[in-house]
Amino acid sequence: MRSAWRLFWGGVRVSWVDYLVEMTPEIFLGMRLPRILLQALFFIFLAKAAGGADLERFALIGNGVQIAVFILILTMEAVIESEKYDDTFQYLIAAPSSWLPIMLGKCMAYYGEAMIASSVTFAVLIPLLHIPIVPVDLLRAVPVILIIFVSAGAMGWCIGAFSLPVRYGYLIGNWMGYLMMIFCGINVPFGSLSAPLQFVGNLLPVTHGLLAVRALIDGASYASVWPLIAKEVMILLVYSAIAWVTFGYRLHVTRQQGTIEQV
Amino acid sequence: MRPAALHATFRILWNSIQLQLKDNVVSSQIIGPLILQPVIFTLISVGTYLYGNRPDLGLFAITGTGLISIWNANLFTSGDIIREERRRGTLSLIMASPTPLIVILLGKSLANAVTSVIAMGLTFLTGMLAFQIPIVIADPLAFLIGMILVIVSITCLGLIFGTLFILTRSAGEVMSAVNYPVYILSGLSIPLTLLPLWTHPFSQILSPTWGNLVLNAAASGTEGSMLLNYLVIVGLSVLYLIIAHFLYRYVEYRALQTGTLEQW
Repeated sequence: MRSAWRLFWGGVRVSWVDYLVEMTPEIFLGMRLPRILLQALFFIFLAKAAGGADLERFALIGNGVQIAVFILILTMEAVIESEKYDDTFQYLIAAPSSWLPIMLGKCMAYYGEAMIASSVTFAVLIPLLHIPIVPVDLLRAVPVILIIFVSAGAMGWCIGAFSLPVRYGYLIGNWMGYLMMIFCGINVPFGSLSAPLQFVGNLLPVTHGLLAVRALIDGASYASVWPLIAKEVMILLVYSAIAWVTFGYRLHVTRQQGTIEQV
Repeated sequence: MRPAALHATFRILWNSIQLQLKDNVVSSQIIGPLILQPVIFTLISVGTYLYGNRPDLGLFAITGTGLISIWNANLFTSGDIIREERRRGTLSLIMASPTPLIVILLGKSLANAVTSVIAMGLTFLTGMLAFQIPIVIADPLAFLIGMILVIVSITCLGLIFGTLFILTRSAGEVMSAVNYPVYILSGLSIPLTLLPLWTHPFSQILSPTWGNLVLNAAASGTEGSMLLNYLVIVGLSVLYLIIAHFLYRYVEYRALQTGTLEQW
């Protein structure tokens, strides 16, 4: 257990250093944060033009969460894929320790970025657009938002593990992020989607958690949204299990067949 | 410019266009901005308008999404061109050659802009298939002229950013950061009336704003002459080219002076 913690913290340090190589404070404040805000703003304006103030508020909540989900899907996929491009995949195979703690650690800087992205989006856009959301109600929903982040991260790992043998992982992650805007009820209510879209949305992370977040912000109690949270946690566990098994399978097959260069 | 030099410039321009078109045919990266984004953005924008009982804005959203895709394809590929040349170690060789990099960049960007017409077609197709929106372009000739002018203009605008990408290894971040401001300020898929008044001068100097006006007017058959809007797009294109030219000279000077192009 102590060894696992040590590996985890090693991963966290690697993650942080790796993050800072590309993301200098100037780039983060001058490019990344404005991009995050403007992406959310674009979809919120779209909703406002379509449905007025009510849909604007709806889209702000959706996009405030989705902006972080987007980051997590992309970065979790990239964490897996970077093992291939950084030539560190073979060390995961050869090392006697479990790969899980260090891989989890390597994700942590990106979870930090996702949390900052979501927080800044809410903190800036609610007062800027004069959206009627009570901060206390938003804070009540934070635990569910964190669950959504973990389930979105699990999906990013799944995409990374599945797409490891090909070179389109980042592309797949990018477009899955946008597709979730359609399937998960980000800009329009989930209940208004057609039955096939709802079927797909029910199988994806974010959908149920976001419904719970919206209800909590509107004043519902945790007891009343418990089934939605339970579904989100269930989806989180399923995606995590698939990611764990798939990545483990990739390691196993690579070791068995000696095809490291082909990964 | 002497005739021989002019001829050489056009030859290089044409070769760059050909090379980029060949690259596009085999590149998987083009799938995103060219195929997936138009489809997904059309589904999101038109779907949102239909939910809000605003089917009248469906065509507006489709045209806007088409322009978003053209701008995206241009910006991302301009950035990628510089990034790839840097990674391959050929950026400094091109900078040191007698042919200005901006001519090569112009050719490649133009090729990408022309390719991105596919994206415009896809947005219309998605609108028709997914939402059964009757897509009828009231004035096809005006639409075609507007489309050609806006593609050239967006290419010229992309050149300004493409030139700046030479100086940074964070071209990807810059590309992402300048994407959405152009969507918003140009009113692509969203009405400009939503924006505060102080942003309107910024909208006016962006050619996608005028392109959006022209294409929407041509598609919906709005009465009135479009000549003025065409002239504004042409004028802005010339302005972008002049800015890109002087910016490139400055960037080239800095790059040669500091000798740090290979830093990655």
